[in-house]
Amino acid sequence: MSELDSELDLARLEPSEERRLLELLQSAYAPTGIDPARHERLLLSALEDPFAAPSAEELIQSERLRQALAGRGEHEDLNLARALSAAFAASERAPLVAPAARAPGEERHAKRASQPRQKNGLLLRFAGGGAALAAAAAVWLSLYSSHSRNSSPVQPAAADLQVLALAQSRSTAPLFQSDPGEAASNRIDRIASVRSRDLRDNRYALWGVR
Amino acid sequence: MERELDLAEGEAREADALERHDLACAKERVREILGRINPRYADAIRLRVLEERSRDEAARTLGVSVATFDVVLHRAMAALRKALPQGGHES
Repeated sequence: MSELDSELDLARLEPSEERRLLELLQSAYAPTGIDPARHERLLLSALEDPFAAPSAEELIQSERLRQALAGRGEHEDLNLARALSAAFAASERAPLVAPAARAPGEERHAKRASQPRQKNGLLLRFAGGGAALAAAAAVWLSLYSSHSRNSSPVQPAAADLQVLALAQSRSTAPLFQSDPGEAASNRIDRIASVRSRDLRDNRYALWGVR
Repeated sequence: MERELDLAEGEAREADALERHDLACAKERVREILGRINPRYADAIRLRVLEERSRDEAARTLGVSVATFDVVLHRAMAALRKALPQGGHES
């Protein structure tokens, strides 16, 4: 088999895979705009360091949250944690099948699952049925944000300003336009330089030092 | 009497189906919201709040000290609050 034949063999793709690759190539060649909210999320998640050294306030708040999750004291995120827990774990606590219809092994598992999960010092239980809790939690999760934003109007405004100060996503096409004789490595260097400047500016903006 | 029992059974089955649907929606909603935040934050919430692992275990899984884990969880909850949809209609 010649080298050309083996290349042709490699080029054969499933129609679905070929369509997917075509879409990827088209997206790369002519990228469309990104949803601003998604862009904001991507920027923030890329820039923030979850393990950065905590501030004094963060240490205080994290200790308060720890205590609240252990059933001692209150914290503004306690109800959110409860809603998450209820929404996620309600199916384990709410037997939707009659106990008699279960196999013995399943019955033991269901009993264990329906017991209040108070292990590890976490007290996240509401009183009430599992499915009702899940529904309530889903609604609560939906309404939580608007309620908390309404109750502290200063923070969202500050957050919006912060996001506006960040460099927005844009095409790299203008960065490719240059002298025809310019070496490819120069163009790459220029793009890397612009992108790293954006990243640096965004970090400064988030740190509030710009 | 038999017809009433059949009717009651039918209603119970319908209620079960609705409950299952509510549960599935609630779980899906939590997954979707967790997908919007930094994966490390999502891991912290998943381990400690959803799976109710101990702080030690959660910290070990994330490869950090317990004290650092507490801070990460606090940041994770704050990030989650920000990620919650405004007015509850974003999906």
